Amino acid sequence: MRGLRLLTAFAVLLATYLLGSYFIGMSAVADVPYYALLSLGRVALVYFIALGVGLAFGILAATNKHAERVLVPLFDIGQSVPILGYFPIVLTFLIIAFPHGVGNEIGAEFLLFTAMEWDIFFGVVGAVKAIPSSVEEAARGYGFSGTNHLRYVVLPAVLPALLSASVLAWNDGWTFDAASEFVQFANSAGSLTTYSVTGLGYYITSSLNAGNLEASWFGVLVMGEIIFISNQLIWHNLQNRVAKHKPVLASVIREDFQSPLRLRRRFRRLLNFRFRQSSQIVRVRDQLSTRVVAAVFVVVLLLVGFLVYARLPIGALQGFVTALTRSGGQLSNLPLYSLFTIGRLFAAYITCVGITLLCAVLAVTKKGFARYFYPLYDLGRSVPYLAIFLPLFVTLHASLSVGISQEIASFILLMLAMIWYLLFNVVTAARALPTELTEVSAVFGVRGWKRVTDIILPAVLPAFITGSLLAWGGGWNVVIYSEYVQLAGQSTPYVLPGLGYLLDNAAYVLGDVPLVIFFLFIMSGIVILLERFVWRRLLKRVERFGVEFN
Amino acid sequence: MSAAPILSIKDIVKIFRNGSEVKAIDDVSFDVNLNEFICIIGPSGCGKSTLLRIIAGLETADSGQILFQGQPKTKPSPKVTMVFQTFGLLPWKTAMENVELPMEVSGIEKAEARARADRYLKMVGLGMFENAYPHDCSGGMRQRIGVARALALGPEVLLLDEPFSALDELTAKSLRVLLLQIWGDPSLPTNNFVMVTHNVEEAVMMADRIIVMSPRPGRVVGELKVPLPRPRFEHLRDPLFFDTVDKLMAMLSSNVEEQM
Repeated sequence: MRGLRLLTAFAVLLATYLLGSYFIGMSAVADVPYYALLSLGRVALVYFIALGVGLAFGILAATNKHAERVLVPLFDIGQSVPILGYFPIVLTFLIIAFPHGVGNEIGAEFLLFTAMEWDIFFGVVGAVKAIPSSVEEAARGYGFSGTNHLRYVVLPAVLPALLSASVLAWNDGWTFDAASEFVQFANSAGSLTTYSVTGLGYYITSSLNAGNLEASWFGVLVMGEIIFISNQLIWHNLQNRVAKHKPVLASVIREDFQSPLRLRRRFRRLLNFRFRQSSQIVRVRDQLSTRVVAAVFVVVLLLVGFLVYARLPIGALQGFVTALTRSGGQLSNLPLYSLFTIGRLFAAYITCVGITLLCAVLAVTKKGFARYFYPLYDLGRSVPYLAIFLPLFVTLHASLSVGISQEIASFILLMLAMIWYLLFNVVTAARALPTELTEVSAVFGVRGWKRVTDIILPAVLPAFITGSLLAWGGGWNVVIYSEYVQLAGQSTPYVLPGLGYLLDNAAYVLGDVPLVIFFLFIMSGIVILLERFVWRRLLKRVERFGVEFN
Repeated sequence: MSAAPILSIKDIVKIFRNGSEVKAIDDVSFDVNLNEFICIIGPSGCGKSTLLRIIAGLETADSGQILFQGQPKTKPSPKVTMVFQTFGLLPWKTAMENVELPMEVSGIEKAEARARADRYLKMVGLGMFENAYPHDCSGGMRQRIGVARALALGPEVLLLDEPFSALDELTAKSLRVLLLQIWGDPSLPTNNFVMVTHNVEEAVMMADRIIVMSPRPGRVVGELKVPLPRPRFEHLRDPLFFDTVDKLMAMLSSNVEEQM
């Protein structure tokens, strides 16, 4: 069975390759297997590093109060700052520090690491904290300690959460692979600089630069196939095996008699993990006190102040005024551009919400829905959205104006980055509705629209808010990528007015580190404020009205 | 029997198809007479809850019929309502709103619905808690809301699915008293109760007649008229009470032995 699936996977990849070499040309695709292996190696290597770090620090944070007080806020801030925002600075620093291409490699891996680490860390912390006190007490009562405790209690308890976090991390890693392997920008003098490491992401972008759009799409296809295949062959398999003796996370999904398909039950089981997982992640992050956030802000603010001051000895205030009026920095555009970026995210978010709510209603009212939904979900989740952005933009640009194509490509990119969190959480919650609520609506004749507004929507609301929180986090991460496009053969980049553009412009064109930090600070501030004062608040308010899953 | 039964369960068969076929209910028939309190008792897996759901119209039988006031009944109706084991309250609605919702959807005017919800919540002793949410209520209070919701529609038949099994014994005791009061109150329209339970003493304490079921396949293996006079709470130490309990236990366990 397993061998057959492996064989099918190879056959699919081989067929893709042959078709590619037939339609695009042998010379264009010849190196693709090599590139794919390089990227696979890179993603896998970084995954194992992230796993090690996540396990070690996660278990430490969950079991030691002092460590928790330091680590959880640290990781929370790490994941609140949009990765792609500080990537240029880090990359520049690494390239100067490690010449001869080593810096490029470390930079790519650093970006992958930051894309993978947070899910794993918070997954581990959540799972360790979720070990029932009775299990802990029993373990202590029987004298488990140290390694024994770790081996027989903690690690088995963490395993399911670790696997679901791994799936997320693995997919995110691949998605960011496209952004990490190829960075290209023109400085103020107009000369083009390219930092790259070889791999599939490199292939996608460099083909585009060489004017070979088909090859670029081909690279996206291969990447999508690799993601899908590794999900099916590795993660689903492991999750199945673990699901048999999951120790901590209780199943909340009802068994209904109409599901003879083993496949469906399997899907539901592992999906259930992920749903629990993401709400757990949110809950753990919730423990971070506002005071710590405030403290870190003050530190960053001081740092920015210091840097501005150091650069302009006349005085921090005057320096700031100068920065405000400096034309290249475009500080005066900041408020408006921030609103543009938020608007872009909001448009994508609203569309995602519409689709998600429709799916939630269908999940409750249509029996066969899950049979189509979960395979489609798996397929959609495999789309490497960052990789798709550039070829999509160029394709659209063939028939539309620059601005419109970039807006549309950005919209699709954002939707792909946001929708899975929402869909996943909400549909799983809708399907996990306790039987009794369904029966109550039937007995008392709650039907049609009333059933949607009074039963289904309130029931999925907590999952909806959890999903929204995660979706906005994911969206902020990629919006930067879409607002600034530099391709070969053009002296100025294609830009969308927005915070991400300001950031990239400050980093690449101006090379103004304080300005970059300042923009980053603004962006993280918006991310954290939205999260803390919108989503967390809402979540707290609705959580007590949540359905009790027995 | 002079009057026609309010509810007739006729030759009900229910098969669960889950890969293989399992006969959950095999040819079950009995009548519920006017103003009668019926208990269905049996071990888990005997299909008693499924039977109750078929009566409610939540499940469909593979063959057989439910006759309500002489007419076949296959769908849920406001004339036959249900009290759930784990209450089935909407956590995002207050006690008042939970009770009002079924009336709203069945087309009862808002003001009338409010007045009725108010009356029934007072009747179950929750006059002070109309604006409380379920998560602020104890288990006993939640089930009181569930009872008020089921009664507010003024049904002819009230179905109760192990309504006390999620409660502690003391709370259960007071709720039993409340339900018997409601059942015996001729000023209320609801005087026909069908309750599923696995608690022998509870069945003897409350029912006029007890239907005994056995599992695999679920069928009726006996029927017992409870000979104790009412109010039953004055006879809980009668030898007759213990005799009835013993008799019921014997009916249940003879069947268990058969199974082994």
